[in-house]
Amino acid sequence: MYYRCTACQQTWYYPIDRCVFCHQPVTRVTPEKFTIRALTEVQIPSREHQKVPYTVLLLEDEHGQTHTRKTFQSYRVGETIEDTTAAASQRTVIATKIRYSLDEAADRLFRLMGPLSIENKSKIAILSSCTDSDPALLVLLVDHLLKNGAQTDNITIGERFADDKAITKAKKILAGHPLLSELELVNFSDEAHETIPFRRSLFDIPKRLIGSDLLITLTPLALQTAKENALISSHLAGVFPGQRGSNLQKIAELPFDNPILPKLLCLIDARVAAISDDQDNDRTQRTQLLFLGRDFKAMDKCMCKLFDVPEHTLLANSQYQLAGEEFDVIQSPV
Amino acid sequence: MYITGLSVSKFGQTSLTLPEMMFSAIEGALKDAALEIKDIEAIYVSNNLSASSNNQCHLGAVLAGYFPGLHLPIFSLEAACGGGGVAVHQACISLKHYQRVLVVGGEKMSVSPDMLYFVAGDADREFDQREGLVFPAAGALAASTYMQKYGATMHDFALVSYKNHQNGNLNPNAHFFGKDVTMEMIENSKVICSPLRLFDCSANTDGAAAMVMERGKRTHRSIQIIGSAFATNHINFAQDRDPTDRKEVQKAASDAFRQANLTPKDIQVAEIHDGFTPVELIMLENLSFCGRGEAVKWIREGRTSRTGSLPVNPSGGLKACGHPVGATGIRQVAEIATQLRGEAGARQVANAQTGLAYNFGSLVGSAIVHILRK
Repeated sequence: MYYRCTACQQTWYYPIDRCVFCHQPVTRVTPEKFTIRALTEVQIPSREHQKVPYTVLLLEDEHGQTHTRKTFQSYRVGETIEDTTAAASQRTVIATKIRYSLDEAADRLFRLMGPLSIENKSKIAILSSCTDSDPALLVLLVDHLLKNGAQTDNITIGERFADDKAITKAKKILAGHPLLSELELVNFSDEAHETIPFRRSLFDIPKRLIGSDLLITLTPLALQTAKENALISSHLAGVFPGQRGSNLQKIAELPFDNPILPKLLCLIDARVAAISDDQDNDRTQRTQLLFLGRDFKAMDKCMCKLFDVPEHTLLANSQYQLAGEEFDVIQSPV
Repeated sequence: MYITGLSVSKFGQTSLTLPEMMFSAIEGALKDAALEIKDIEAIYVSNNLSASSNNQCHLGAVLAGYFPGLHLPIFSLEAACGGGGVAVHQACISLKHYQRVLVVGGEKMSVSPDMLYFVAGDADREFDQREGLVFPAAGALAASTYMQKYGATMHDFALVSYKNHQNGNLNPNAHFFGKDVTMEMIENSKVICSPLRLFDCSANTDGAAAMVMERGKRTHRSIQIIGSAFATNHINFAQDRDPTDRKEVQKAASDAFRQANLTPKDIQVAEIHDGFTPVELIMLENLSFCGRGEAVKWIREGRTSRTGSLPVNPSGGLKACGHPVGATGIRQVAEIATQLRGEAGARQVANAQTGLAYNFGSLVGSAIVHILRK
């Protein structure tokens, strides 16, 4: 994406509101079709690009602007690359890199996801942790929902694992953003639950979630333990806060024809990933990535690839198709 | 503005620390100018990588430790590979205020095996670095574009490398001095970033260079700077549609030639930043020495060889001298001054009266042109 002055056509690659020359507003240009003008295969590893060879493409978009892009795929000069909606598949995981603007990256993520089929009365539950998440991403998500037809009255923010203190803090955070201040904040742990048997397990699911048309989990990426390597993003741990006799494996074995999974959308804020290793040593890793997808297992599989950790056997049969941008495997600690 | 003293260290791996290298170059320049440090009113320091690779910032104050009690104003400048050129340009500007200043640049590149990563810091963090566009890759994309547009071949780039290695073999301070590099070695060297091979890329090396610059001419060995221009452009590689069409270079060259009241035809020797071999050809064109696509013909016909109509990089260039980032721009100007003094020894260009040094930072970003006269 880049920015172009509506009056003098000057172009910026950094986010800017107004033309520095004629002070007119700028428009954000979102190119979708790229032609490969040149490419180079890089044979030398460097600290941030240890896996070689890789290729850097010099791309020209449909408006004549050029861009560079790293890829591990094989291309030829003259080939075209489309950057359009690609998330028709349930198993698609979309990744975008945050460059100088979270707004740009989120916008691209949602654009590649395609329409959300939100109706006027659609009930939407966003399962987040306001105290752990960046409110800016929540604002962008809510803004996108509203632009797609959602009504403020029908959007609920569900605080995960919250006590009274956390709820108070979360309310304060939401009140600080005009777009969020009107939204209802609930603690799902206090909500009425319905016990649903799946296979030989019982799951307590908040009734409000069962009644939602769209359930969005917004989680900062935390790789709980590299040792388990299973369901590392734990998207559903908050959806099933009071499950009885359950564990991650049972959640992973849930059949798809249940009241929750078909309406799930997982948004992972992986800008800074918190990772615990086998010895429970904590570290953080800057990845500057956002992920969006409908299948939490596909997303977990994708996270395994991101962190170069072996997949849990539960993920073995799960497949995913990556859309948006390729990302590098994280190999070095901060 | 005159260059009255200069010194270039032996480029190559050294056990000296960066401050020691720089101090040694300063001593050499002062000796060459027959001056003492107390005669100097200000110092301009160029370095690019000390902060990232060696966690040593504030080099001005570091150097001040060699001159206790003087309390000189010492300015640190950083403009990626163009820092040396920017330091010389800033020193030129300062001579309206000072009578006599000193510029020094240095780099210690053998200090870390991660130098490719540290140097990559000179490119845009998000648009270039995260896309894996290390500098040889940027050079390779420029090379590919140039080959597509003008029919240049890898053999043409090898000719640039060969010419510069032949020159460097005559320069005792060059990294590759005394090393015979053949066309066969160049054309069979390892591919680094296709299509560029190892011998298309300048070598990381240790080195320092310094010059004394004065407002007036003091001796017959003083060399006048008659043009000094600096132009910038955005740092991200892809923002310009054509990496071979460098507006900032054209602007800096145009300004410098206008100041000097000369045209490219008046230049008899040039040092042109050849971080990668195709860049020497691309910049010959952007500096207006020849038309677009014509530099290919120039290298094939030997017009840029030491005995050609425009000798380019008689020092060996970055290719054979090596490229200690913060020192390079000063070394280039010092080489032209040495040539105009007639003191270049075995690599001396015949009858040179005017010369040009072109230095740049990142593959785009900062372009600095100096024109010198005997």
